[in-house]
Amino acid sequence: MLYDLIDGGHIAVITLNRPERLNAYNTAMRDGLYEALSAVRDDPAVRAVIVRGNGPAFCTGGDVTEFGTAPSASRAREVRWLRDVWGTLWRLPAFTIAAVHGYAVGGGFEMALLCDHCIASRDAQFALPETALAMIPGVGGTQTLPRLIGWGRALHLVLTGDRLDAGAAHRLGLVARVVAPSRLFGAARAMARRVARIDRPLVERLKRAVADGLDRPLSDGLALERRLAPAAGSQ
Amino acid sequence: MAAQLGKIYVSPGGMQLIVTKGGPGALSDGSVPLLRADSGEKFPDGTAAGTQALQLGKRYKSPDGAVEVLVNKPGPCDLRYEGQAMELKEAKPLPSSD
Repeated sequence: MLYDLIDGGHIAVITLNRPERLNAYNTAMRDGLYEALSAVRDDPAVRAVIVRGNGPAFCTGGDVTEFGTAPSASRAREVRWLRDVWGTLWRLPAFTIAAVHGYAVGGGFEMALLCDHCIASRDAQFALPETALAMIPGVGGTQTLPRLIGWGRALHLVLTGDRLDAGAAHRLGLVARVVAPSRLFGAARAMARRVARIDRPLVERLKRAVADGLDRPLSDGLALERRLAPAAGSQ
Repeated sequence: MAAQLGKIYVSPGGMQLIVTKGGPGALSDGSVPLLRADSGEKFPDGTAAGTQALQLGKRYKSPDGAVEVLVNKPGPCDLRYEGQAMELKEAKPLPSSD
């Protein structure tokens, strides 16, 4: 895992760095990612985060060589609670951008779905193959995907494992922009720079208004917006 | 000067950190007190920096764990709290959850 700060410390760049294993997510990557995300959370200067992968793929999900190695189901639940990587990513008070190239499969796809914004290179491919392995996507995909593309289309992708190329992901609204591979980081950085002009407390409140409001009836969402607006205006 | 929660401190070598668990004691680089980044103060010319390379994104803690800091600009610094060397905080090893 590589962690860097650019643009005066306002933009964090987190690079998944197991290229020889197509950035398969193992315990070392889990611990490194948790450390990096926690650093973003605790650094008030950081306003935007780019998550990207080194090598030929963004991330191919959980490392299958570690599957079944959890000491017990209860210990596995405890570990997920103690080192809540995905909850930390989702709740970050900074704008998160997934810069996806190559395979974004299983947990790798779901990691991108947990980010606020996704930019893909033309060679990106997305899939959730867990069902074929008699598993349920475990990085939030069953919850994030239907919120982005609707119940039926999400269930189709989860049940079939059908692969989406970058264009199809863009048409579905999963990807905000598709660019040439050579322009991927530059496009992500340009987007991060736009958001990095905004004070972090305002970014955090806007994220709360959108994300928390989505799970409420419209009347409650409007009330949430009214509560957040004065505080945001006082920044 | 106390290590104040949420405040940013700088060392003579340009290392910068954020206090994530505060305490009443002073942070220093060796025997040189760190400065609050928002104080407007500067180190006198020629102030010697420590030699330990502190890494971006890493956390360091006082020996009793009461005070913690997060490095947000790497640089050389022999980081101390109340005169005692601060230690790199290592994550507790946890098994796979898969």
